[in-house]
Order: sequence, then structure tokens, then C-alpha cells
Amino acid sequence: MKNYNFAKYDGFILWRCRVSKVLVLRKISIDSVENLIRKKSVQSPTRKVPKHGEQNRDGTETERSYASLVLRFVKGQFHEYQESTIGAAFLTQTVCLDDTTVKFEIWDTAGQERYHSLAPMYYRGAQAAIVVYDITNQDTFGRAKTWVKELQRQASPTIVIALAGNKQDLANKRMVEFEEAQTYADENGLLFMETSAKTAMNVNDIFLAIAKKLPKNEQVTGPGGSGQGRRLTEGDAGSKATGNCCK
Amino acid sequence: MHGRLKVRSTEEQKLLKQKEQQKKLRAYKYAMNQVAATRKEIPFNKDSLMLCAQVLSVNPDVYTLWNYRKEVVLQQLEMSKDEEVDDALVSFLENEIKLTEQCLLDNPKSYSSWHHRYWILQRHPKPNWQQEFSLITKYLTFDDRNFHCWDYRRLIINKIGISLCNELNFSTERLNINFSNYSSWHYRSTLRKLDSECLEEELELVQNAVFTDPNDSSAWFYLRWILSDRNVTNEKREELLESLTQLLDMDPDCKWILMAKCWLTGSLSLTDNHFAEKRIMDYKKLKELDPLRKGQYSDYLECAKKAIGTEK
Amino acid sequence: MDYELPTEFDIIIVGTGIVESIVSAAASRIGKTVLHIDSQDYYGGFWASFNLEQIDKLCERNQNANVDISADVQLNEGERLIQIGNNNFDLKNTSQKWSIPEKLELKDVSENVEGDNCDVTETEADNGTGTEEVWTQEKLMRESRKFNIDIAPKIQFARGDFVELLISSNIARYSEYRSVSRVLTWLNGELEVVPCSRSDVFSNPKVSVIEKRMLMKLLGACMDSEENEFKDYKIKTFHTYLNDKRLTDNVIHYVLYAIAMSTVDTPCSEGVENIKRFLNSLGRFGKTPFLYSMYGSGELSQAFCRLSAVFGGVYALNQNLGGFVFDAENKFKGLVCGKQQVIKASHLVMGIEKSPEEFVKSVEVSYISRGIFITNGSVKGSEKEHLTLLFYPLKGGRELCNVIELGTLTGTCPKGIYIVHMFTKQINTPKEDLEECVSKLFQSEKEDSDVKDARPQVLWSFYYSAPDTNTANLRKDVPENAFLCPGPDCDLDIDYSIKKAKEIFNSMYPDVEFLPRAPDPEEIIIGDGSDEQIPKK
Repeated sequence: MKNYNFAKYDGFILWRCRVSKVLVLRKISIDSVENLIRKKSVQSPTRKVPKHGEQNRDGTETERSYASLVLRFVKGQFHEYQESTIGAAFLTQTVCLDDTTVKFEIWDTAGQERYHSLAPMYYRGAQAAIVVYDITNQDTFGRAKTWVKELQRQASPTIVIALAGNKQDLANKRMVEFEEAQTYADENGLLFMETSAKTAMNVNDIFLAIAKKLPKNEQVTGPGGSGQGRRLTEGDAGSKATGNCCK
Repeated sequence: MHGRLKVRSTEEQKLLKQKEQQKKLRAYKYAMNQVAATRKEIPFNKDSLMLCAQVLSVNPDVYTLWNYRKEVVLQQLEMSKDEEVDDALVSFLENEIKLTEQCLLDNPKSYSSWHHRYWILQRHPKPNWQQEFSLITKYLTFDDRNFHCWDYRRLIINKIGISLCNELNFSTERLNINFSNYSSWHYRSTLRKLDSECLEEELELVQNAVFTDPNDSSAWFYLRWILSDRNVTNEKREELLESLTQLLDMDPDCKWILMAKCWLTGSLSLTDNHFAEKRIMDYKKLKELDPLRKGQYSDYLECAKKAIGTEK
Repeated sequence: MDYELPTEFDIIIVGTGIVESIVSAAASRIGKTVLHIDSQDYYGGFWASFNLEQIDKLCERNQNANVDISADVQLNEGERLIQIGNNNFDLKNTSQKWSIPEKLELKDVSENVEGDNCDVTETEADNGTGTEEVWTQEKLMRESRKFNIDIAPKIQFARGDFVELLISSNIARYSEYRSVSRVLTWLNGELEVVPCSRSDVFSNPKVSVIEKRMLMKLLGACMDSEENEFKDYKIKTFHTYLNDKRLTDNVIHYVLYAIAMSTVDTPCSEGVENIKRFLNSLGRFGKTPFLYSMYGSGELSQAFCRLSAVFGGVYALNQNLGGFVFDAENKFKGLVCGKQQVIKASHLVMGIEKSPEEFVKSVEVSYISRGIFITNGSVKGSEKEHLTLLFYPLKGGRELCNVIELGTLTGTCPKGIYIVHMFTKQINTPKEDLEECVSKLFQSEKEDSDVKDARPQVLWSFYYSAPDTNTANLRKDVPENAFLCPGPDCDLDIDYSIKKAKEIFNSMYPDVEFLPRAPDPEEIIIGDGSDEQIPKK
């Protein structure tokens, strides 16, 4: 047997050993007035937020806990056997923050984080990241630290990084102390929470905390519009006002 | 197998949709009955009001429900008449404003929602017209063809009074983005009385439009409105006629140019018969170009001929 | 390395340029197992975007790092190992220059309140007060990561093949774009805004009413392109056609050099086709027909890689590639990764720079003169930040120089800074080819203290010759089950690359759909698919 093992589900590869997870969140933030306008007129602006994950000797477990954290957030559901990554390009979820609506797009990396090869494509324009480890596995915490370092080195200097100790429901099998992680987070200026995808503990909160810490929808240089790009969709006729030169 | 990528078949999607619709229908019927049964209650029935809001945010065109809300609002206003500032009342009214916002989000052209919004603001002890103004400005930058917004803007402006210059600029900005827009042109026409100074500007603007696209009717209507003004001197009219003749050379088949020429020659011929003859020729050409309105042009033609006859 | 790759794939793709990435996405999408591998630790190869530090070191960088032949593998009889990579397509004539001091001199520091660890946003706050920001190398380097500098900048047509493919395949979700907000031209010694659309024509004060009509009529005629209109111009130039139309010089200039993106030598039919392409792309996204991808053109290939990964493509960057294994019949057998591992596949697709020397020895290369400039202001300042595209007619209108100016809103540079890309077909050296345009747009290097020059100052410049293999035959000398992907060309867009990717895909997998639409998240049932056909409730 080689030292790898993978299963393929309809095109989604799942590695069962030494996986560290990378997910991207994109934040879409709109105030209520604009909301009223934009819905009918234009595509919402978006922000990039990558999310980082843990790794584990036991890949299956890690995959499960990771994907399930996202699923819990998005769908409010927990699948005990949620093994593979979600498979969709990304899922979306909206949280309400005061009078602002923050929409996250959550991307996953199709389960091949061990090559560190999908991560580089998330750094550009990324605004926040969540690094997840498994509190029952010390190794994953070590790997999480590597992710944090890499983020601080590669990503935008203003990136918001959150550290999530997942599987809080298994606190009796804990291998990483809360205080240890909290100290590490404080030293590195990270948001920190212990979460449970199973019981939904802190799942919404961590996204909310990120949303709060992200700069408000700043209107970059006035009339030029926001700092966000345009999503291309069939339905977006652009400003119909522009009109074609020759109809 | 878990976590499998599975795509819903269209069949399944259809089924889901049907179920969804039935659910909506049941909810709608239930809410309507509930409101009808409790409409006269004093104080109002809280459940009904909530249900009413839910239905409206899905379908803002049920004016019966808006009327019910207005009755409730009047009830509230009545109750708080004596007190100076009633926070509860304010938050109640703010809530109504929020509801209309939600409804407009779904249907930005809902008459009832726009009306309700204005109706509430009028009765609001501390209406924030400024906020309404920025809202409507934003809205118009996203959809400048929504005449509800233009109407609403006029109402707001009457409340806050802002500088003519700013409004003109706003209107020019909208036209620069898209001049095929009756609403923007019309709004512009409501802003000021034309005098000899601004006439020049407006004539230039409208010429830019008709030269860019002579087949677009909206600017021609604006031109017609300008020409109805007595401040437009005959010299101006002749100048314009000259320029339109040039335009006609480039686009001989455009009926709008001919029509505009007729508007001009119409008033010019009152003093100079030479223009009356031109006018007759243009109407003849129009009859060929636009056979669908043949009768109308014949009529004009007769009038024009008669005019010459009486002069002679 | 704490992992090893699987030993067998349907297809191995070496290099992460745009063509390779599109093929990768298309193959994964139809269920083929794909290994997408690169010796570099970044995506994009010759299509990549770099931060300031990286590009600073680009000249020193060996394109084929991590490639060595010293692999220790057991070969079967008749098999041979060929070295990966060649040096035929390297960037040439690279010359890089800073035009600003490394640090502020001491006396300046005392005047300037900001300290070493100053908050960047704070210093920018006084931008509006009119005091010009003083840039130093050190200061720019501190913001290195805010730069995404393309080595092959690309602009897309809003209705070009690329955008259509992006939308039809549902890959559009993976990237964001900005519309080019103005198209400029160089007219009568000045930069002028080109009236692109009907509303531009209406509102442009420099175009007289008669010219407005001329312009609109002409564009209409090109759009309808009735046979009669152009029947006498089959062998004539577009310029001749315009002259015969008795237009004003201004109108001819706008149409020829900007809207038709042509020169005085362009044939009439081509000019008309270009105009159609321009006009067809109008009014879809934004005010001009053009789009630029946020965070640089390097994002383009990554969007496709992303889809490939979601459909199972395995990604491995920064790999030690030991060589390709070919059998006695010169058929590709496998890739040596690291020292020992041989990964087998039935097809090999590779970026042209990753190809063994023997496959590309007869590939003809022409060159593109490219220049990148970091400046302290826009070539044509205005109230709001613009994303500018300029077609500059060089040498009396015989060549066009494409100029793209990017501001901070594109996510490619810090606030207060602009990046200007210039490129044109190479005739002499990049510096000579671009000299005319550079001298018109930027302050001259020699400081003339008497006259205040309002033009932007170049802070950093980088000239290079980039290879263009668009016209080369990439099938010659190449084994049947191996395919070469061309690098960036001189076109504005990447539609040619899409065509190439499709060709490669179709030769491997004929009669299979190329990048069918990927499902949306809403269409995917999460959880146990077998017993939960329709979620309850």
C-alpha cells in the first residue's frame, strides 16, 4: 500500500490522510438602501475571504468536521457522515450585522490541501480567513499555525484571520487547551473561538465576528464605486442606459 | 455514498416549485380572511397586522391591505394626538416605511408601496426628507426609467427645496448616461421657466441628442416643448431650421426631422409666407415617409394651405 | 515531501498558463482524471501576475527551476527519459529601472512626520489636500503585496469568446471583473476620450453635432455591413473607405485608431469586423466594451484551475519534475516527479516553455515589446479613478501601441499609484519601440525645474521582449499524444487561446462537449443523496 488513499465521488477527490483544509469566503456587504436598489439593477459587490482548515492524521475525521462546519453555517444542518467537501463551487449565507447585511460566499478546495497548491489562488484580494483545527488533535493545531504564518506572509496585510478550534462537542477528548490557543491567537492578533459543527456552537458567531471586524463597505475614492469587482452573468445587461451605438 | 454531487432533475425542481406555490396560496388566503375578520377591531389586531405585512412583502399590489394599514396608522395617530413626541408612534411609522422599502425591493414599480411611503412620511412627526432624497437619487442612478422614482423625487424636492443648479446637473447627468428617456427630459422641463439665457443651453442639449440619434423620439418631444415657449425668437427658429435642414440632408428618411421642421415653419410662416410653402412640401414628404399617419398629415397640409390662402 | 501523488491519470498537464488551465478544466469536467502540475510555486507561468518584490526578481529567475534530469527511475526497454523545459521562449531584453531614491534623505525624514511603521492609510488621508506624495523604493516595497503586476496583461471583450465561455460554463463565479471606464486616443497632440457608445457621442463636447451624426451613421453602416456599402473596398484599406466617406479628420481618427483598433494599413474588411466586435460588446457590462480581471490577468487561468479542482483535478505546484518518459514509438508514457516516482497518463499537455527542446526546435518565435511602468498619477487625471485603455498610433499610424492603465480599484496596486502596461509588435528593442509613447505620456527623465510638468512621473519601469508563437505550428515534431500550449500573444484578449485549448481538447476527446455548464450550489443536494431525493418541508 502506498501512503495515500483516496476515494472519488463523482469527480470529487477525497484524501483520507494528512489533509489540511482550505476554504474561501467571499463577503458581500450591502447596506439596506443599496440593497433595495441593487437587487433589481446590478450584481452585488463581493469580497474575497479565504478560509483555512486543519489537518489531521485521520483524514476522514478532519474532512467531516471541516465540511460540516461550513454546512452547519450555511444550511443549519449537520451531517454526521459528511465526508467529502461539499462539491459545489461555493455556498452562500447571509448574516445580519446591525443594519448591514453581510453575505458570505464559502468556497472549498475539493479536498486536496496537502499539496498546498490551491491556496495561492485565494490570497489575492482576500479579506479574511478562518483557520480551523481539531481540538482533539495536537497536530492539527500545529498545522493551523503554519497556515496562519503563510497567510500573514502571503495574503493582503490587512487580512482578518480567525482561528477556530472545532469539535468542541468532544471537549472530553481535548488535546489542545483552550488557554494555549487563546494565548496564541492573542499574540498573533487573531479572532479565536472554539466551535462545534455538531452542536452549532459558535458557528454563526465566528462568521459574525469576522463580519464585524471587516472594514465597513468603504466607498473607495468616491464616485469610482466600491472596491469590488463585477460578476459576469448572463442576466446582467449592464447599465441598459449605455445602449448600443447602433441599436 | 455520502457527499455525492447530485443535481436536481428538472422534474424534481418543478415539483418543488408547485409545492411552494400551493403553500403560498394557502398562506395568502388565510391572511386575507384574518385581516377581513379583524379589520374593525380597536385597538388593532397585532396578528393581523403582521400577517398583512407578510403578504404585502410578497405581493405589494393588494391595495386592500395597504388601506387596512392606513386605518391602523390613523388609529395610532389619533391615540397619540396630545403628546408632544411619541417615540412609540415614531417607531411604528418607521416600521411602515421599512415595510414599503421591502416591498419596493421586490417590485420597484408598485404604485401602492410608493404611495403608502409618501402617505406615512406626510403624517410622520419628524420626517427625514433628506434621507428620502438621497435614497431616490441612488435609486435613479440604478434605474433612471422608473417614472415612480421621478415622481417621488418631485414630491421630495417640494418638501426640502434644493438648488435649481444641482437639480439641473442631476438631470444632465442622467441624460448623459441615457438620453432615450422621456422621464429625464420631462423632469428637466418641470425644473425651470425658460428664459433667453437658458434657452441657448437647452437648444444645444437637445440638438446633441437629435443629431446623435434622430430616430429617438424622446428628445424631439423635448424640442417641441421648448419651441412652445414664446421666448424663442424667430432668429433662433431660423437658425434651428437651418441646422435641421443639414441633418435632413444626412438622414433624408427620418420623419422626426421633417416634423420638427414643420413645427418651426409653422410659427415662422405667421410672418413670412416663404416658410409656409416649405411647410407644405415637408408635409407632402411626410405623407410618403409615414403612410400610417397619412390622414393626420393631410389634415395639417389642408390647414397649411388654407393659411396661405387667407393671407393672400 | 510528506506525500506522494497517485501513479496514474488520464491526462497530465504541465504548466498553469491559460491554455493549459482551460484544457485542465474541460478534461476534469467530463470526468477525466487530471494531474495539473507546475515546477513553479505560482499559477500562470507566462500569464502570471506578480507582486513588486517578485517581479523585481523576475529577471534573475530561471523559468525552469526545479527541473532536473538526475532522476533515478527504472525505465522499460525502449523507453527514454527527456528533460523537461527549454529556454527558447524566455523573456528577453529585460531591463528594469527605479527612478526614485531608495530612501528619503535624512533632512526629508525630519520634515516628513511619518515614521517607519506608519499606517499607510493615514498618510493617504491627506492625498486630497494637494500635497504630492513622495515615493521611495522602500515605501513602494513596503506595499509590495498590494501589487499584482501582469507580465501578460489582457483585456476582454464583453461579448468575446472568453466572456461567453466563462458564463456558459459557469466559471464566471470564480472571478471578478472591472469594466474599462474610458477608451483614450492620442489626437492632435493630446489625450482625448473616444466616444464609444451612443451616450458618449451625445455627451462628448468636443464632437460637433454634425460629427455626432457622421460618427453614428458610419458605425451604423459598419454594423449593418450591407454588401453594397463595401463592395468597392475588397482590396482597399479601411482608411481609404473612411476617407471616401468625406468625414472630418477627428471622426476618421476616432473610428480608425480607436473603435476599429486599426492602422492606416488595415484592410477594409478587417476594420469593419473590428468595429462590429467593438460595438457588439458595448452595453453589456459597463460603459465600454472592455473588461479587466480584478487582481490581475493572472486570475484568468486560476478561475479555470478552480473548476478543474472542484471536478477532481489534482493540483501540485512547486514540484520537482525529473523528466518525461517516452517509449520506443515516441509515445508519451509518463512524468517523473521528484526523484523516483513515475506518473503514467495517456495524454500529455504542456506549456510551450515546459516542452522538451526537441519538440520546439523549429517553432518560430516573434516578439512583443512590452513595458510596465509604475507611476504616481493617471496619464489623464480626473475626479474619479479610471481604468483606461489607450490605443496609441505609432509611427504615423502604421502600428498601434496598446496601453492599459490600472488604478487601485483593480486590486493591482496601492492607492495613489497607477500601473501602466504598454505593448506592441516588436520591431527594434522594447525600449525603442515604446519610446514615442512613453515620451508623450510621462514626464521626461531630465528634470526641468522651470516648467511644471503635469504628466505623471515614472517611478519604476520594466521593459522586456515576450515571445509570441501565435503563428507557429505547434504540432510539428510533437508526438501524437502530447500537445503544446502557446503562451500569451499580442492580442488584447485571450480568444485565440480559447480556440487553441478547444482544439487540444477536441483532438484528445472528439465528440465530447467542451466545458458544459457546471451546476450551481442550489442545484446540488447536500447530504445523503440516496434516500433524500427532495428535502422534506
